[in-house]
Amino acid sequence: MKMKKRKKSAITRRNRMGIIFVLPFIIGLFVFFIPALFNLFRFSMSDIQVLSGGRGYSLDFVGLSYYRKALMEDPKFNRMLLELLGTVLVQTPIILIFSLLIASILNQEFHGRTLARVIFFIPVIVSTGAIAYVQNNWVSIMTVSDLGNALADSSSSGVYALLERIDVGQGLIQVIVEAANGLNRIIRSSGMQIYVLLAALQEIPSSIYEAAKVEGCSAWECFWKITIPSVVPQIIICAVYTLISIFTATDTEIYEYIVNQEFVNNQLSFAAAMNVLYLMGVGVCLLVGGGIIKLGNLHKD
Amino acid sequence: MKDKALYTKISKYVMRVLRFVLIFGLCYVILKPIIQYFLYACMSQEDFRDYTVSMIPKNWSTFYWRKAAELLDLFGETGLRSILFSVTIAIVQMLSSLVIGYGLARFKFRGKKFLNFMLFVVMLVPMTVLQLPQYFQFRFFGIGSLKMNLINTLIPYYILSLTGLGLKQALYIFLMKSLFEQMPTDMENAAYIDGAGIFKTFGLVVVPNAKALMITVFLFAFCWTWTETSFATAFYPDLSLLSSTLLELDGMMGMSAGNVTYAGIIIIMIPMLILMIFCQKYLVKSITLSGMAN
Repeated sequence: MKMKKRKKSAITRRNRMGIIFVLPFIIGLFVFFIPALFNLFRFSMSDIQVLSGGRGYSLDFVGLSYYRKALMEDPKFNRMLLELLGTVLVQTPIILIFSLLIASILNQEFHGRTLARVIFFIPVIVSTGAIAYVQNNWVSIMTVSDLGNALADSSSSGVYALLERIDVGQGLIQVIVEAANGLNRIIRSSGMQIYVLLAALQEIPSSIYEAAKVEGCSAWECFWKITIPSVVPQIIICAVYTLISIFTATDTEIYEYIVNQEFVNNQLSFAAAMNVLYLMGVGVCLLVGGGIIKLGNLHKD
Repeated sequence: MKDKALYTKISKYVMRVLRFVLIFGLCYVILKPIIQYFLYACMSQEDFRDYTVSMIPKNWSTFYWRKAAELLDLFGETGLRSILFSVTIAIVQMLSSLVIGYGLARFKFRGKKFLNFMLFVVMLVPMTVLQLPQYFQFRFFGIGSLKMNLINTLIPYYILSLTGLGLKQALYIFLMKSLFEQMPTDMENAAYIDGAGIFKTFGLVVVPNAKALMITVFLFAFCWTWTETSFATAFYPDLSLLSSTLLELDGMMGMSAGNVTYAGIIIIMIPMLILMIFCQKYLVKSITLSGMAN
């Protein structure tokens, strides 16, 4: 009895010591994260006046006027925010399906599998930040050799000319060109997801597939009845990851616009209001995503 | 019966060809820009103006490489600062994520649920959104009348990395946390019974087991800090780093020679690719080990 008590107290003491490990995060939350979030709301509803002599800044409450400006008066912000939300809703499912397809192919046995895995991971670390920005904004304008641009530039490529000769209509050509451009973007943004799903697929024991084959299951049925159900948790993780990476990307039009207002035009409160609206956009997307997952679960029950 | 065997054989063969075409095609799409930038950067100035040269240079030259290295200040202050900054930030982020992840996974204390919830919130809030209030916080850093200006120093990003708020750091913490939740506690308990303290156990038993994931996190943290520009424009706009200089290369050269940017891209990519090749074998392993796979 006495022994047990002492053991218990050692564990409690250890647990109490454990807070030391989490202390940096607690400091980060209460000194930097939560105040910053709070200040963002405050800034968006007031005029900021920087005091002379580095003594700080003062705020004058102005209410919701900057929100009105962002939503009603600004010619670009509305469109860019809606476009971003549209991109998220369209791209997330495409990226997930694409990653699952590639992961299940990379899970098969074939020559050069390791090399292919390495190559698919290159964009995750390479096409980020400055390089992604240059690739999206500068290189694609300057060269005609991107897949999409090659199609778009009639003088350099036969495909576009061919499509034009067949007379499939400008609209359809536009769709094909955009799909080709999108393919590039999707490959670039699904490397991490491929890896996570690949790791999940490797965890499924092969005996299940063998048993199913004996029972007369076709490969198609195996995919829907075994593979998909066992990677559902990873698909959800990937969906969250995809959402985050689209919203935190710094090569989007809207991010550039807000930063420009912030650090170049010095429209601080206006930028803060746009940031709050942006944050709300993220929230809406997450709610929609969460709702879909919940519906899926209900359906299963 | 024979027909069926032939049918499966043919379909297998067709599938293999299709798979090859798909994988090869996608690898081509990924690698093509890199090869292309490399070739562009190897062109001489005449080739750049020559319309008959489209991909492979006629006169190979190192002109653009030298120019890019010079403009990026690769072997000078900028290059040195970039490499030191990225390596130290990667180490700081790796260690703080390791410690925080371990704390969240292993110990029971009050408010743990709240911290887990906040980790999720931090992961979902784009850090770029908070840069404006954080700018003010670091511009007037301190308590009461004691204020310091930390803007245009690298200190703000070190502080944020140390407290788990760096770029995508919530993801690393989440990975570490899942790894430790998967890991059996037997070894640690044995160490405790042998009389080791909590920190000794952490250093001697836990850290060696997390090696693969630590290397992976280091790789991510290094690469994502190496190319990062959003914190740079917010907190240290006057300090030149390779990533922020890359965006200005085009303007620095004027209209006459665009290929400098291609050389710049490749120069910035090289350390990341080398690091990736070295860390490759830990990647899948660490993702399988951490909770991502289960």
